Amino acid sequence: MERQSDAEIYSTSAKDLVRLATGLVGPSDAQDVVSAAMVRVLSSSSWARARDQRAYLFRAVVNEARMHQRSSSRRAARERKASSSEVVEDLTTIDALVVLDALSVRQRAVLILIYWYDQDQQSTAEMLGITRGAVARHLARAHARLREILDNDIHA
Amino acid sequence: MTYTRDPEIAALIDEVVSMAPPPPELPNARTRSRVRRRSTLVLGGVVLAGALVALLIAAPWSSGSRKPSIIAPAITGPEPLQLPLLVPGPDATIDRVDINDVPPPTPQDVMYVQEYSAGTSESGPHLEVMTVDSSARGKVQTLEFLGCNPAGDPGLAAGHQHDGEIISLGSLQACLITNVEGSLSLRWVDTDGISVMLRSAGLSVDELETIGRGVRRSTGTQTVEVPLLRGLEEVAEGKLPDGLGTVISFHQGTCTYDLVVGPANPSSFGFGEPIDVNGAAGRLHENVLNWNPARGSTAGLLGHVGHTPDDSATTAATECDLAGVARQVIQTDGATWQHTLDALGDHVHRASTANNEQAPTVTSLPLTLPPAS
Repeated sequence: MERQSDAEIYSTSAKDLVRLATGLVGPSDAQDVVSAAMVRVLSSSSWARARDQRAYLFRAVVNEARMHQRSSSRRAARERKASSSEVVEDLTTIDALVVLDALSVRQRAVLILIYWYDQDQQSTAEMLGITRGAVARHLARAHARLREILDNDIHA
Repeated sequence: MTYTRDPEIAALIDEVVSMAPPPPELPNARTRSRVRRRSTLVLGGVVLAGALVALLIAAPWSSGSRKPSIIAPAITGPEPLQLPLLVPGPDATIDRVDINDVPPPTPQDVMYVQEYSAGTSESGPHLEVMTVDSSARGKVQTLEFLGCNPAGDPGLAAGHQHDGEIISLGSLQACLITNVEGSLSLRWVDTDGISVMLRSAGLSVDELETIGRGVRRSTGTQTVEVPLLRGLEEVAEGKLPDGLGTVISFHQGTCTYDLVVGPANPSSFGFGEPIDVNGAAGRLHENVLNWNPARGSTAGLLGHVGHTPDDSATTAATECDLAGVARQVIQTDGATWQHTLDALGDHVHRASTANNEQAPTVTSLPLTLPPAS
């Protein structure tokens, strides 16, 4: 099979990558994460050797999202520390993003691949470069956490 | 493991994904080369800094007269858990290890079972995939154990295990030992539990791999709690009151038996019946060494592991007579730990004699006996 050009691969996968990134970091940062991931991918020497380029891109977005998450949480902590006045966050509105925020990036990625992209656990594992057992574990924990939040929300 | 799609979670995912903005432009070549240049610069900086640090360390003024003359020992990792064992012979005695002296499990003790694909067999439901996460070891959570369909042990088949029934660690162990070539059905829902459980069951990686080769996909199952794991975990962690938790190891021929002994306050008696071990609920089965509380004993044997030096489950089953030891002890009317252990020693002695081997004898048991209730 002839290998597609970078632009072709990106154009066919871009929407999916942004959707995935939206689930991982939210809509405001999704484009940045995808852009950064693409820059990283296209600069990488292993990209040319990637057998499943689509899975490679998905994995790159998840990795980028994890890095983004780490840096943004550090930034948020710094800002909270620097803030002299007490900021009362409005948590009364439990929207979808806030709920998903309770999960790790990996758990979110697993949920999105399974729920949105209808992947089974095996292919999810292959896309994320982890074992099927790890996928099952992330999925179980994500389910449990979300159920807890959703149930509390209902009872609140 | 197949999960039922949760409609509420599906709606949540849909909602989040639907917020996706349009995709950004593909970064152009200029951006990429700038990133690559920056990466090269960063890498170069790191290499330079490393070289500088190495130079500073090697410089004479930094070490002064303390020029390193001793090479640091290589880090080989923690020693695996080793319980004191007796050397078989006429003078052998039962050794005692205080529970608090037993070191915690090391990474080497944790079993790794990766990617054993589950399946369905003609004879019933069977094992599901397992993965052990060493980083999560020590946390006991939920476990699915669907029962055991033994190939050659009528004792297990006769009413003790049914598909979907919760069975104990003792049953699991017996099932594993007696049915390596048969069928087995269990599923770990959370992999945190497996390391503790398998470690408690004394199974080696080789044994697990043997088991893994014989497993097949399970059918529909239910998640159940297996509280015995918690009990064993607490014993293994030395959470019993001081002086009451004890691990006893002894050797007979090529077989090793490790017993975890702890106080027990059974709410009822019978194989598979729930018990309460110092607040930690558990279940006993015939293949877990048991005690008879009919005479008011508050002592009990919690766990039982037998294995051979080569960790062969088959050898252990045939040569070490695990079930025989368990049944023998169960049949005694031990009112105290001492009594039970004496009975055990007696059994070992007789079994060894039958095999023309030198048997270990019970010469002293420096146990702290709990008061009889």
